[in-house]
Amino acid sequence: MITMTVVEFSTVVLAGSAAAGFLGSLTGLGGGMVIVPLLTLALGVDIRYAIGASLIAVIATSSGSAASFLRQRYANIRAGMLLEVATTSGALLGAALTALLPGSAIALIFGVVLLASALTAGKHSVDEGEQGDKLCEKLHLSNAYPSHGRMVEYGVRHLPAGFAMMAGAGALSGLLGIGSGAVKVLAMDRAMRFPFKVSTTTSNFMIGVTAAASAGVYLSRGYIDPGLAMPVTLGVLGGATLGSKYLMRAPVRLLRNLFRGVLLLLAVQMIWNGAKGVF
Amino acid sequence: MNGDNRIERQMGKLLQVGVAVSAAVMALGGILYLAGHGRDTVALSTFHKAAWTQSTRVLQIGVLLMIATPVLRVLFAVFAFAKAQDWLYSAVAATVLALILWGFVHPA
Repeated sequence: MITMTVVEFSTVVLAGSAAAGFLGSLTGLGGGMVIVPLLTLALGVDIRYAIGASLIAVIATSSGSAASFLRQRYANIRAGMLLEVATTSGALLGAALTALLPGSAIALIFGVVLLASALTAGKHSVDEGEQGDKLCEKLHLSNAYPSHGRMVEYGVRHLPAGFAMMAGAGALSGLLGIGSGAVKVLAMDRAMRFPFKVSTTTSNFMIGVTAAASAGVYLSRGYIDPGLAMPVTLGVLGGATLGSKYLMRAPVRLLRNLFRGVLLLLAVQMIWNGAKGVF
Repeated sequence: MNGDNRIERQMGKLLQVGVAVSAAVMALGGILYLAGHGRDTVALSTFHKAAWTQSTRVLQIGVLLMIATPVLRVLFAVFAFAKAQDWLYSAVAATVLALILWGFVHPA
């Protein structure tokens, strides 16, 4: 175990969290995927504290960057809220499962799912002009988003599949203290055929609510340490603010490649740690 | 949909203010915490129930405000969609709110 003073520890955590926040915001993943490994592997923090702190940071990232996405009309709030029913249900289930499943098994499964996602992430939906299906039209899920200076209409499809994937994303969030942005983006982009920028921004919009559902459970269990949550959250917020500014100017192709690379890295990391029994 | 833009802007504003206030309270709490406990040794590898001492009180409030921010956004959506007479999405938001509150009251 590493011994540090609280000031030293807080400084290291603040710096690492700022880097994580930048990366998380840029890809719609949230900082959580990087925060938990950083705290547990590099600093020897108990995983339950790490998850608790990560959840607060995930809430801050999502809420902090949502304002500009909402103003610029990228996010689809109806779709977001409808799918939040799935993510919050999943989050409660995931938080309940934490006590039952060994952490290393969960990390392994998650790593494999992520790896599969990363390898197929290049096969991508068409961004515009597609017709929505009957159910999604009935629920007013089709909308328009700004692209190249005009509003482009898009149709949405396959709500049941998206809903199921969102429940899975919520469960992972509750289990691992992450935003599960990657799975959320996959559900919206690939299953439901949202344009990529709508997927990343709407996913970001939903992450805060999903993490809040998980945080409620962790808070009442006493897993959220304010002294740890503070540098993690403030660091992530600083990094995420930079990231969200860059996102609006970034081309979709670059974003997607970056997203894919991050998925791959995290998948390897999860599988490695799961196999070693670190979690 | 008409009026959505207004709801989106208000939601954005609410989240922005919520995060700013929570972060400010956390920063203030952080200063108080570091002033009081800065030279203590970190011992996070052994699990114990988080200790809410006097110098972490402000920090605690900051954390709670941060968690409350997205929850307030959902509460806002319940009323905003009801006002726009979009009963379906008002009910959707109410369902989400109920699920979140369930987690606070019944940790499994």
